[in-house]
Amino acid sequence: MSAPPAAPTGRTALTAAATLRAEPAAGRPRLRWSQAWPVVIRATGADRVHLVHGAGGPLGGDDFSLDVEVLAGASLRVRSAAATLVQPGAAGGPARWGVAADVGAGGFLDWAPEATVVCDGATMRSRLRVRLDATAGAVLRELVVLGRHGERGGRHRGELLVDVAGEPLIAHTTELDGADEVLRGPGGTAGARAVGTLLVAGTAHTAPHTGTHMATHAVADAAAPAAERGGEAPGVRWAWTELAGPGRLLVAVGEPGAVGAQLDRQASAPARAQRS
Amino acid sequence: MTSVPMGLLLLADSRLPAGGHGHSGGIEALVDRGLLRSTDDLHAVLPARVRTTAAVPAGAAAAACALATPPSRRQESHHQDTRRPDGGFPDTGQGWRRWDAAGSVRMAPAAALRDASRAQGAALLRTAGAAWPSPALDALRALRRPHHALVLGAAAAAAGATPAQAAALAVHHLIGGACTAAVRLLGLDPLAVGALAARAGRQAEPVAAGAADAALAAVAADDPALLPTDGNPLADVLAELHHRSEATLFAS
Repeated sequence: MSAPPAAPTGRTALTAAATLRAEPAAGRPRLRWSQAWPVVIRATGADRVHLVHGAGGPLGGDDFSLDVEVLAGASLRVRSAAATLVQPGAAGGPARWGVAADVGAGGFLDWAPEATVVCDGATMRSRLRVRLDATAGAVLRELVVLGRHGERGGRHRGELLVDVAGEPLIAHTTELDGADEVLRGPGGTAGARAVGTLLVAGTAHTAPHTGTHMATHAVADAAAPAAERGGEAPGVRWAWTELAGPGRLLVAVGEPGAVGAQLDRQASAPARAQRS
Repeated sequence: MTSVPMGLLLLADSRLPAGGHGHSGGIEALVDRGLLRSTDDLHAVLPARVRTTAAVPAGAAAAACALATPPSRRQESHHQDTRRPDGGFPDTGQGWRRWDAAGSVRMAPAAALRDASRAQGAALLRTAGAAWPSPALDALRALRRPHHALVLGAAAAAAGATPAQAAALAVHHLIGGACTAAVRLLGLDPLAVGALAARAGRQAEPVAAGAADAALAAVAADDPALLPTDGNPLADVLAELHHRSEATLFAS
């Protein structure tokens, strides 16, 4: 094995397991959490938290996890204070980030952290596993960016696993590598540095951001004009697709800014449609 | 007895009428956008597709082959790895349903790919049902349009092949379909493309073997969740856009 690149901060690898729970309560929801440095949780609203990475990183060798529980009738919005910057670590090996969330009857999870940026030489393995009750809903937004400005970027292997009422809805793994000529070639990402997904899963739920009620089926469904279901613009190719189970998925591939903007635009589209 | 079943060779033959000619495996969408123009480009595209999109069909085909092998044949040579506790055998549509659904959730990001898989599955089921009648293929009919890889695996079992061979068969069709489409769309030199196909096939062997291993573990545990889940986001987006565009030569 060749010597791993030195960690920018020089610290050793860390293991941290945090938990977060949203309970329904009369009047306003109640949040409980146990944070595990450097995975820091800050409540920033009645049903909203921001995740903060406290030690720069994650770095290679770090192993962080978050268990989320949204109890029946509760809702939870998860954001992050800044992009997650994955860098090589002194310990070598990949950085790991595993999130497991359970959402109870009538509950709602809105998961939309900022981008994960995988720097040159770094490797990240992430897994987002969500189990929804038959009457629960979730909106899950993920954005992976290969490299900072001017970098090709490192390696990212991301798993997205969602079940509804015990039935699998999506099981999908994406492997990206900015230093791999095959994976960044025309049969892979065709040079794109960013991949974004927006999954709207489950049955009727409360719209993120606006608080207005939104049926899942209001989002860019098959009856929507083709231009609202997918397209190609400078810097981004994107498409909504219908899942075999209850839900829809947007995939966007392209340049980081254009992909992020497309996710934002599409996430707010249902509310726009309701107002018009 | 030959070591390679003749039926396996027939299943690998693109002259067997099974509907594959209407599909380019995503190649036409790349050609339309100028992302694939030459033999050199195809040289880059094939290994990328093998690494990102081959494990799911290979795993499904291997699992279907293991499932469709009658218990009486399981102990023969190649099925020692199939450690199914119940010896269960999907001779009903219900037995196949979870494995078929596993295909759909792995192709979740592109309804167009699921449709293409089901269309080709239905076409192959007609051909294979006539060529290798078997209870497992009969049972797949209850699903009406089962995923292509499931039919391919069940047909491979009926033709006497092993799960590892079924996985290789699925990858072979992925490569062959892409190469044929590239030749037809771009008029590439068939000799040069043949060499690329052979090279891609060699590179695909570990992918097929890994997918077969995962499939045997999934069948042994009776858990489709253990099947490979690898995907390719740009291929998914382009499959959707291709499906919605008009005047395309290939359906996918």
